Amino acid sequence: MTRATVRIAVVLCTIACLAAPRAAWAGDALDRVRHAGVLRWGGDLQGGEPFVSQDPRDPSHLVGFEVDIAAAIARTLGVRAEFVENDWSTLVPSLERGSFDVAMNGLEVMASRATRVSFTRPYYVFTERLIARRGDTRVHPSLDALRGLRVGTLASSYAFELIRDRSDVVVYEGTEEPYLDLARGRTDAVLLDDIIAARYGEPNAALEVVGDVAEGYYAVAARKSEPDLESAVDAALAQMAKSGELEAILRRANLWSAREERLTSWTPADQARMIGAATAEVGATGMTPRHVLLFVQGALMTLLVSTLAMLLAVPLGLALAIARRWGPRWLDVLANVYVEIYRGTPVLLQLYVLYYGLAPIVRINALTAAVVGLGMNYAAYEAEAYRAGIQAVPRGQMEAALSLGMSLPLALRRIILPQAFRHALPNVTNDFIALLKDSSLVSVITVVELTKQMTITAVDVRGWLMPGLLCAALYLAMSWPLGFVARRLEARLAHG
Amino acid sequence: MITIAKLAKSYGAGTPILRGVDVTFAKGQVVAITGPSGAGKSTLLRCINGLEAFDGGSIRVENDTLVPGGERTNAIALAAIRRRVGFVFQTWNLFAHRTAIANVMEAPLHVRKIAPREARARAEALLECVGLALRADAYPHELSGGEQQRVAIARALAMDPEALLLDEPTSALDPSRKGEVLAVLRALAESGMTMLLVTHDVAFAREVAHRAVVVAEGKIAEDGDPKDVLRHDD
Repeated sequence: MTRATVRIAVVLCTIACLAAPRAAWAGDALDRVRHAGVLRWGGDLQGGEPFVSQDPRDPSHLVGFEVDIAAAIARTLGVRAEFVENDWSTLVPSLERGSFDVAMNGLEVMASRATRVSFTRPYYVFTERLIARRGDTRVHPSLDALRGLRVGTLASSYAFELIRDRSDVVVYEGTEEPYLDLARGRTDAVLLDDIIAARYGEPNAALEVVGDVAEGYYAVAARKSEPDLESAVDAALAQMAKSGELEAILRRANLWSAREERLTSWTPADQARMIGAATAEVGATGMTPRHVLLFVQGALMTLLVSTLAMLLAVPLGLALAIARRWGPRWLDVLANVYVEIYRGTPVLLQLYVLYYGLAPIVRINALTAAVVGLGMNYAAYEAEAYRAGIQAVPRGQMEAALSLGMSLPLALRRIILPQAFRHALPNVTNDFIALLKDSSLVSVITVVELTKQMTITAVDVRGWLMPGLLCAALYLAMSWPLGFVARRLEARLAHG
Repeated sequence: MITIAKLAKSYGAGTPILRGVDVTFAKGQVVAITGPSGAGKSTLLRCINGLEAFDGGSIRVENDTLVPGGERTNAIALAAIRRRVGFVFQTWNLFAHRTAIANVMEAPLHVRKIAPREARARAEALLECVGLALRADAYPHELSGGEQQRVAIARALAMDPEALLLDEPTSALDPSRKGEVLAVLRALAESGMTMLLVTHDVAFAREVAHRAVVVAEGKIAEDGDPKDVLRHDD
């Protein structure tokens, strides 16, 4: 398990927790919050300014307009607010399993969420803002005009739902990266909420706003089983809108515009319209053959990335091992430094540096970066596997080869490495299986492989259990035969 | 054929193993090299084909000369010497992942680039000579020590060496297995092959060698007719 992905662990934990019976607080959630004296609200600091982020002057202190809103709601309920950090894309499942009382972090009111949790009245009216490179005449302010273009957005966002069937969507996990990639020409446009666009896209001189193409609402999410808490928070928001406190908070964050005025006169009819419009979108479908096909595509991408990365890692690792055993001193030192650096830092960091950090210097696409990043990382492990294998070959084998007039390269190729490979094979197989799973990390650089496909589908079908099981089954279907083939190969090579 | 002058070598910082060896070996001679354990016999032999680097003096084989500095410094001379001089190890060192016949064919095929058909025919003939024609397809781990050493001798002969260096070829074998290897060596000596044989087997040395050299404390202590030199030993 040492290098198994955190992601899979998270998914399996989520499945386990969903399967367990939930605490029966129905009807007295508000009492519970009042009794505890805290309203625990979930969000993701990675979303950054102006939502909720660490105060640069005092990182232990949180700032942002949602921090202010949460504090005001809590004050109205007679408690204090407590922030709970949670990955943005899993806020809804985490709310359902009880990690916090409510979720509030730029959660757009949309079908995939409205069918699973209850939303209060909105605290912000947002628009979906389209940004492109300055002067790019192909991009027009309409959703249909995005057909055929490469468009970046956040995974599980409202913008993703809007463009997933129209465009070639590139999904990101952070708010800054979509605009960096757009400026460098890796995508044609970015569609995201206006707050994100204003903070991360518009300051970039190479980019310009094309226009706003849709509108929606941010609201506080509560569990469906706790309507009393949901109405209490809703009432608090209504009071804040009426008293002008909400306007003051949004003005402080520079987010107030004429559009937000409808928050102060929000009626039950508006609320019904908002929820109705959201749930009228395509409802939960369950797993369809189309999903299964997408999973198989994801699995093929996993297999492609892993295999190509291994094809790079094997010869590179071999070269490193040879350099360390027979190379001149300086090459030995260099190889050693390589192995220690790649083994001693997280592969996730290496992928980030390769794809985003080095982007001004080397221009490579996401798939190449994934293969090169994983391949160079695994080369360090392969080097160690071969070094152990080479050490297991008796000294006399090399002496016999040299005494017969073989050159060092010939002796390595014909005598030493074939035997070393046999000793290294179990470790190499093990590494390839680990690589299959580690390849899920490349989703951070926008490659949609099996695990990413699962998280996307889990949102579609409003559940993690079936997608999780199918995903696990596909991983097993890839790694199991590999182990079998490796054991057969070991048996065949077991001479001598 | 082989001229060694002032050969000196120490292991690590302090312990000298060879302290100025001067000796010449002529073509066609069978020379037994004996002496107490740790005297430097094996080291002397291993220096001749570059398995050990040395610190002082020189080794000349025909027109190729080795100087201190090891594998890299002597690359060209070593390549020539190793083609001319075969080596047989105490623990045979057969290639563990190759069959007996593949062990014999390996160097002719990949060093001398002889055609596979010809290499196989030569290898079969050599295995026949050492009495192992029927074991050609066995892997080393399927062979006894004596059989492995006979394959190792055939492997060295497959490169058509002008001289053979043998480093205690029978001392790792059971007494019952020594005879089969000694028989091969006896036939080889009678064929006129130049042989430098490091051995503790005085009786055999007296039987096949033309000359005996005793190495003691890193120097040549005695050099002469085996009947005289080996007289006092057991």
